[in-house]
Amino acid sequence: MTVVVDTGILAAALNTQDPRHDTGRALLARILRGEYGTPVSSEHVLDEGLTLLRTRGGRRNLSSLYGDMFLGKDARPPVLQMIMTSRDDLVRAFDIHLQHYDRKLSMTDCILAVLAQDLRAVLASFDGGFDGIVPRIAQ
Amino acid sequence: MTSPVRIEENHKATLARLRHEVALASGRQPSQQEVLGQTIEFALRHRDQFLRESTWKPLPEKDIQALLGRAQPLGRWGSEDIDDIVYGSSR
Repeated sequence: MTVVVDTGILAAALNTQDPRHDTGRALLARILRGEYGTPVSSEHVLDEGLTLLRTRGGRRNLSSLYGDMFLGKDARPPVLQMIMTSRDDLVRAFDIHLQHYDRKLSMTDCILAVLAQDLRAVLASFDGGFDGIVPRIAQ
Repeated sequence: MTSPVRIEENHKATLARLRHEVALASGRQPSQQEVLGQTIEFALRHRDQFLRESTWKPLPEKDIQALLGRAQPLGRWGSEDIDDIVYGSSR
């Protein structure tokens, strides 16, 4: 059992002023307890989250925490398993992007959908644009 | 590392796609050996994932609470605004 984690869940959990902070915090806690299996994400979510935090947060220590969740620190392993995107993944994500163009999914979203499909995983995301593409949990 | 048998059970769709890709590339139905070669290549590409899945352990509750306790007020933007903020796009 595996859960793919989207940026929005992490951002909501780390920003106490996010309208979905309580929901994101509770969901991330369940994910880290292993209730949905191994949590995985993508290097594109690492990129997206760090860009987001630098743009709107500007708190170095929180950006550091975010990066450590993906990369680990010192002897501590990462809490999310980062799966690097292959060319085949990108081609399939691009297909999803074009197939569901009106949903305005980002390429990062589409890459997460490919990961969820490959791993037969559930996707943890607040984004309803995934519905009908992959199974989703939002709370 | 996950055995090829486990991979075949969990990734039948991927194996079917690999067979199709080999057939397209060669113009004929692939032999069992060719498909096996593709399967091994797939396993090697995803080896880190397989290894990590087999070793990942849930975080201790104190570590979870410590991590979540580092949340900070970053403004009243919502997680639904991420694409606008990161990419400058309108959803």
